[in-house]
Amino acid sequence: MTPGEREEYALRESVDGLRLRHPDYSASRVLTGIQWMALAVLVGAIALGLIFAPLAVGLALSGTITAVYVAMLVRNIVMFRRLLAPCAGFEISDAEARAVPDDDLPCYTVLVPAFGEPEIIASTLQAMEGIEYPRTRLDVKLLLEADDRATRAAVVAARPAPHIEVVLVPPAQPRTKPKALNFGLSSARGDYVTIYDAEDRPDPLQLRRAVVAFSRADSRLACLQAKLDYHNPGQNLLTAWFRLEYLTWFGFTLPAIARGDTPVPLGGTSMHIRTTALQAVGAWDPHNVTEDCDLGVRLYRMGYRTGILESTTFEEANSDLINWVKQRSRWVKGYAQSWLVHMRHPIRLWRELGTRGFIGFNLMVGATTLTSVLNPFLWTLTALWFTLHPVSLSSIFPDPIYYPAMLSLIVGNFLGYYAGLITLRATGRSELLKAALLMPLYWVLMSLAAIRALLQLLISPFVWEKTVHGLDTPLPEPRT
Amino acid sequence: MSSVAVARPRTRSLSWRIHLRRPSPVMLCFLISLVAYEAAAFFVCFHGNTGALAGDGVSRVEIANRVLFSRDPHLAAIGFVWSPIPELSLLPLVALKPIFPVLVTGALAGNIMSAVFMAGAAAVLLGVLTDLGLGRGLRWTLTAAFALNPMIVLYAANSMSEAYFLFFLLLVVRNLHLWLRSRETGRLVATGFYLGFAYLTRYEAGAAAIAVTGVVGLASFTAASGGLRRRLRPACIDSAIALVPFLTAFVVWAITSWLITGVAFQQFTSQYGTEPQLKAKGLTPPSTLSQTLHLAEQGVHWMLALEPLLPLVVIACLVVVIRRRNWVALGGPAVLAGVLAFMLYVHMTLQVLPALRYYIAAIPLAILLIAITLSPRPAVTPTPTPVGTWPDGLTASANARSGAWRARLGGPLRIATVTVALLAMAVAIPSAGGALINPNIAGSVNGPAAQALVTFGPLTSAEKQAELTFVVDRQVSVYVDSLHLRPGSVLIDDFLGYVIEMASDDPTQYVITSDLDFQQILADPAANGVQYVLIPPPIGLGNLDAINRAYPGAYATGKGIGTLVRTFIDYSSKAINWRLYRVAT
Repeated sequence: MTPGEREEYALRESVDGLRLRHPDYSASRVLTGIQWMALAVLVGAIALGLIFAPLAVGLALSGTITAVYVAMLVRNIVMFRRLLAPCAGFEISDAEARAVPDDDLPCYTVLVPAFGEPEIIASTLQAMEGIEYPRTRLDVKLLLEADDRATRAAVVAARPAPHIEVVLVPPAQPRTKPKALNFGLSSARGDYVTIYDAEDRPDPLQLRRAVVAFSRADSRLACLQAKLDYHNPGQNLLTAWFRLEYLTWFGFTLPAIARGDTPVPLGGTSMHIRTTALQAVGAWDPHNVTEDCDLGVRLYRMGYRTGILESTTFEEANSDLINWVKQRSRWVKGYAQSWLVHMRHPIRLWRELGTRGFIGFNLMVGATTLTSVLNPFLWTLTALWFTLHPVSLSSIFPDPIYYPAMLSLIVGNFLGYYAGLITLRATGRSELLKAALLMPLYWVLMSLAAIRALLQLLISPFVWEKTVHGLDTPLPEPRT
Repeated sequence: MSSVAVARPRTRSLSWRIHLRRPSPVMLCFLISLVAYEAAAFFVCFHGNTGALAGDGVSRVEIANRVLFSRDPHLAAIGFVWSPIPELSLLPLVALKPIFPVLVTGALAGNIMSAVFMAGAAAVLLGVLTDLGLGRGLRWTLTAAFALNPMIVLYAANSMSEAYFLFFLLLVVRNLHLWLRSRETGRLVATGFYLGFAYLTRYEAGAAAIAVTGVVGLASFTAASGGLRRRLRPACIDSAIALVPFLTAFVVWAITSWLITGVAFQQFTSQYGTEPQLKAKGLTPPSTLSQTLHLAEQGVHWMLALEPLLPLVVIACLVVVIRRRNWVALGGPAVLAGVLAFMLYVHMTLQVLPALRYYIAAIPLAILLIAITLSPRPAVTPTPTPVGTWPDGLTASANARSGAWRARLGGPLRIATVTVALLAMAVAIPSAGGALINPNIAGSVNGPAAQALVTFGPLTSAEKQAELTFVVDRQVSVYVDSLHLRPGSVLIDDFLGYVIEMASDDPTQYVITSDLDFQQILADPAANGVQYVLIPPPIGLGNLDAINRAYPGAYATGKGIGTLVRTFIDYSSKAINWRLYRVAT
């Protein structure tokens, strides 16, 4: 094969690999035929019901929605208890990480996708060069789009170290990060793969820690997710909220999920995967805008397990509101995509995940999306009820539905708010107090983003809205 | 599709065998106290005509009854003047009314549940004493000193909310103390939660909340290092963790009340609330300093009647704490002292009807202070409970050294403090017993029941008369039942008439205040199918009766209602002579 043919083959693999080999796992179609039918039946039933038996339809809707919220509440209570008893992931000390001789270390592939990042690519390269790992065994691939001249020029100007390979991804639809990752994976040499975004500053010993952790675990452990944190929390209220959310998620929630019998939704970066396992499950889905969540579920379905690595990668928190909304919408859209993809064969999913995993998956990926979209509507209904007491509302919320719904509203919100305060205390980050006290405003923002996501899913499913980076305040000049 | 054949994670196998373990000391204490208090509860209920019951206690059973069995069953019938937990906890028992009617007609359900919670309070107290490091003999003795106190026994058995309140208050004290020692967030969370629950049992928990916030903030502030600002933040967070559940309970309850009744704080503004009750009884708030001081003196006198040596014990405890520099030990007593101080304040300003039971917190406070005085010097910092344990107020933690207190005797000061502590422990029970029988202190509220429990002796004629309370209400109830009326036929305000509805075989025949259409029916009884109206005499609390307010003069002449059918004469000291009027169509 000529290099050109190889490149074209790799590109086709990246875009169509999963779709052709495991079509059931590909988000290239948003809904399967059966799902379309189910949706049509549901919509039809609701429409007919509204004409002939509106009360029954109203009751069915309010009952189903309340049941979902109550299920979420139960899960949140369980999670809350885990908040007070955090489970640690794989803890590898610095000494242990450095104890492995260089010759015993496996080859490690680091994929760094970057698109339109000319401002920060220099610091990206710096961060990658800071990784403590023998350069001969390190396979760093900087994945740039071939037509991204600005970033390419910036890379050339930054003069990367020789072990950093620049891979040019030929332009092709869909223009997403997972497609670039698949392309990079096709020429990966390492036994392990990890991803870092352009704005990441990983713990230099993270790769070594991962190697040691993998060597201690059994072969079923195919993936280790490191923790993410932000290096610019003090910038504004939004970054403080983001940080608090990440602290809770990576410090408490994710370790608890990893310990339980449910699939682990991965973070966007710093997940360390055995290459063989990654290739066996079909690598990333280029049509899914949250390829990390999708991969996490797919790994679990195919029998692999994910653990948590006690090592932190620092990212840049979104300080701009519009930017944040776009990023958040993408996450919600991706979760909805993932849910639809994996629920194509619910019975098979249930068998693969087990009952607990199935429920956990539905609550985590499906219900979270659904509830964040429904929240503004329900809040409006509640406000309406409190002020006007319309009879139409009371008729579709009889006592058996009304009281659980009220309970989930009060207790659910209280637990969320309280969990923020407890996270603060348990992690000692008292500077985030204001953010924790104002959490309800953050929830309103999240709901707005979720609505936007739903609309996007219906209109343009594969659009990947690039998050603008480099907005963090520059470091002050050192005083002489 | 290539898939790795892997075994699914093993599901936990369920063990069907019941493992009988030896109960922990706290659980043992709970079970013993429960048996004893339930015996007392049944005794109080059945001794002497079932009339020997506190009105408030009976009222709680009626509230639960009307939620489930009235003409218009709905949860909001709980009412918002009182905190909801005591009534909510009665719902499961009251639901058994068809099988055991006496649970409601004899108000037994209330006694049963208050006994459960007071047994819980005793068990939690044992846990606190264990945490303080007392020897086994001493901590069981002190727990017994609490559990066998006549005041405690009475309020375990009479369905009043003091039992619920003490239970949650002691849980707050226990978890606060454990947090002060280990600074582990889980304990602080537990303190916050129990504080919230305490608010939902009695509103006085607000005073406890203020005390807890102060203690937590101060402890956090002093433990942190750095400048003022840097120390302030962790203090704020910790105080927030302790306070947020309470504030949530406060706000949610107020909003619920506002939603359903239109008034946010019924306990202050209700027509049946404290202020109108005081006025109806002819009591006015003190206007001069001497009146205020007189009331304060009365309050202090009552407190000392329960715990005569309390001031001395306070001094003894302070001496011990100062000598050992063991400041954290004062956290728990500070909470109870805060509640007592608040009760003294509302007594002084006559914002409540003065009653001995408001000072019930003095009993656990004295026990706690005695325990601190007698506790062995903490030799090593106790190992903090690991972060993984969910705070469980009923599990005793910490090791206790047994019988070590004797060895600690040393020095005249030590002898003095120990003597004071032991004396206080010995004196409390007889003193409380005497206080309960003394009509000047305990009033006539609990007279016969208290007498029965304390002396098991024959009743005086005055007590026999007091025992006739509710007898006339039952007579009314029997009579109305004999008329075999259809639902919604009898209009009555259950502010005073709760026993009538409660004792009835068919509560649906009554239209009561909590029915959503009560006001509408009150405005025009005849048009709404009401055939009879029951009215109490417009004297004292009867002036607050809704029918008396809507139809003044109706009791005397039937003006605006109809014709008199019957007058029921009440021979108890309350003398509520109910009148049954037939509605004129």
